[in-house]
Amino acid sequence: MSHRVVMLWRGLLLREVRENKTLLLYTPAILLVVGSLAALQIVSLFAPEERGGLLSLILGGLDGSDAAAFAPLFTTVSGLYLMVMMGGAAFYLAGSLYSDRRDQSYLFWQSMPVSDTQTVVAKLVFALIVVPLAYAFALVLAALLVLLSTALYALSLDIPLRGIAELADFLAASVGLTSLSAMLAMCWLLPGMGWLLLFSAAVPRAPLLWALSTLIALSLLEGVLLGSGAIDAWIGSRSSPWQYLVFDRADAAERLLSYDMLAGFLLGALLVAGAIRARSFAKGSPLRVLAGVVAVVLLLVIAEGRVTQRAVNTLQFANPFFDFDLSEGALSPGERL
Amino acid sequence: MDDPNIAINVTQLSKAFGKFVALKNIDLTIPRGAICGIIGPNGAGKTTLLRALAGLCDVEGQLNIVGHDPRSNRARLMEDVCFIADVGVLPANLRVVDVIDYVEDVHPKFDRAKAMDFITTTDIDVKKRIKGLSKGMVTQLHLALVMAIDVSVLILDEPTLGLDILYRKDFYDRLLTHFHDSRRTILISTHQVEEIESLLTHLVFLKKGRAVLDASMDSIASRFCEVVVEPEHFSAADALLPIAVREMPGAARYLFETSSTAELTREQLAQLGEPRTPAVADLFVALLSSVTNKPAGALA
Repeated sequence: MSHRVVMLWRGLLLREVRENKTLLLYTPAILLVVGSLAALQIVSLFAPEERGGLLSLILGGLDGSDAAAFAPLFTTVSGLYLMVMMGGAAFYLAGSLYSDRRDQSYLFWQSMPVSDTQTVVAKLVFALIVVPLAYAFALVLAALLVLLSTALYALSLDIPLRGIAELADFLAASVGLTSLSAMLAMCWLLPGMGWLLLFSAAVPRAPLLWALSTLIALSLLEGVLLGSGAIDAWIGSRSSPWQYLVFDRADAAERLLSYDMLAGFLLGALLVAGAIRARSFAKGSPLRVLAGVVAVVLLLVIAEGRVTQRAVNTLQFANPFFDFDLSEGALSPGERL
Repeated sequence: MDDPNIAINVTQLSKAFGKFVALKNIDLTIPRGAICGIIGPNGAGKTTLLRALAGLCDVEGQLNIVGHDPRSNRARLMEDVCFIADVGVLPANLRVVDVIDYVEDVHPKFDRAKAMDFITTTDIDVKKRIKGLSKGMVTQLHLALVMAIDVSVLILDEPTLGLDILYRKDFYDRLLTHFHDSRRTILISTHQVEEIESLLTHLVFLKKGRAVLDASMDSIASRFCEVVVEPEHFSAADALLPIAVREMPGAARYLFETSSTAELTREQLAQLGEPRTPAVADLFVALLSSVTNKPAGALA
């Protein structure tokens, strides 16, 4: 890559970082603090004779009596982090191309030698890669803090820390896998991201509201007019954050190359291309672009639902972890790592 | 068109917003090195024209700005063209230094040292957020950024709107001393003609989306002539078909276009009174108020 390209992308991504500190820095920081404080609270709540619940789970991991016990806790918390991240990312994407139209700063941004494609793709890269890294980092840091404080507490009770090496290994491996999970979640959500970007680029106001209400209206219409539920199935299969967690790299690759993921990429690419076109102020009415792209995407979704007749079982198929039972730790990373 | 002496060439440019015609069949040719004033009342189409030139607006017709069509490759065009819009458009939530960093990263022709030199001559604090700056400072900052970019065309849409007289004067002084040279072309739109009259080499008048005048200042001096006529010559002056007449105490100012009718010569006009080149503001008022009453072809 030439120096120019590197500089350009540095500039584009730093702009997103500077403009979105709440999403990227403050929210993960708050999650980190709240998460750690909650954990400390748990630790201080339980007297040693009443070891139970969460504390015993962690202590069980620390003293080696139940090495896999920490994993489900980590998974649950990961899901919560992902949920916050997805919500934040949705607000970010819906606002991104809209806010600079609203305050007219697009007249400055567009006066720079940056193409509409680069502008839109930079926002996508930020949501797809940069934001997940920040949340994964905060999550692992929180886990580390909890472990550390619990370990100190355990030491004060003379509980041996035989399991700590294993837990440390687990956490170290989690840094990568959690980032991967978060990015995978965003990839899986690419059609949704594209949808939001398209509305952000085209509608005159309230892009999030328009994006969501249009989607709901269309899915209702499909049910009434065609009696099918293809749009509904797409929405359902791409909503819960827990389904994105992966516990090894092979798992991630498999998911990335699955039919559903690739179908999502296709629709996502179409929607993002629409957003880029709608962003090009010199190329005609953005609302016309929006209407065209939405029509094509709908046809594809409904046709795909018809052909594969997978509308009913998509939810199960797309969610290998759908009936993941936390209490049993059925897919605990301890076993897979 | 790839004449190296032409910076901007526009043919049959039209734009409508629904039923409102913003621009209608505009033809413009602006030579390299010109300082061109786009003058027109509010709603005449100045902003639409300039945004079309900067690739920010969808229009019909042909556009060529230093060899580029802004609609097909705006990003490439913006390496050679800078644009300052009519409203304070720098991103309000960023700090001054963030914006400078951004431009340095994305613009290959930006010279940071030059921008900083410029900023140190103002009261701008680079650590402040844009929204904490006064309107005049935001304009100064935008100008500082633009001055530090080595481009061949600068498009300014009402750059001094809402600024007080000191800032306005400072703005144009800096523009002339730091930016302008024979390679660079500047387009400035405004409805305050008097302030930029002395800078201009070229003049375009817009009225209701049409270009009612597109001429160099030199040609204006030879083409238009103003005479203060005493009452006894009124009928003689009226017979020569003035394009505008303004009453004054004890006399009237007659404005003639000398090139439109071959028989109208300076000598004839000299018999009525002292001929002189009209001020741009007077010409503007004359052309924009009378154009519809005059015979076709009188004003191109």
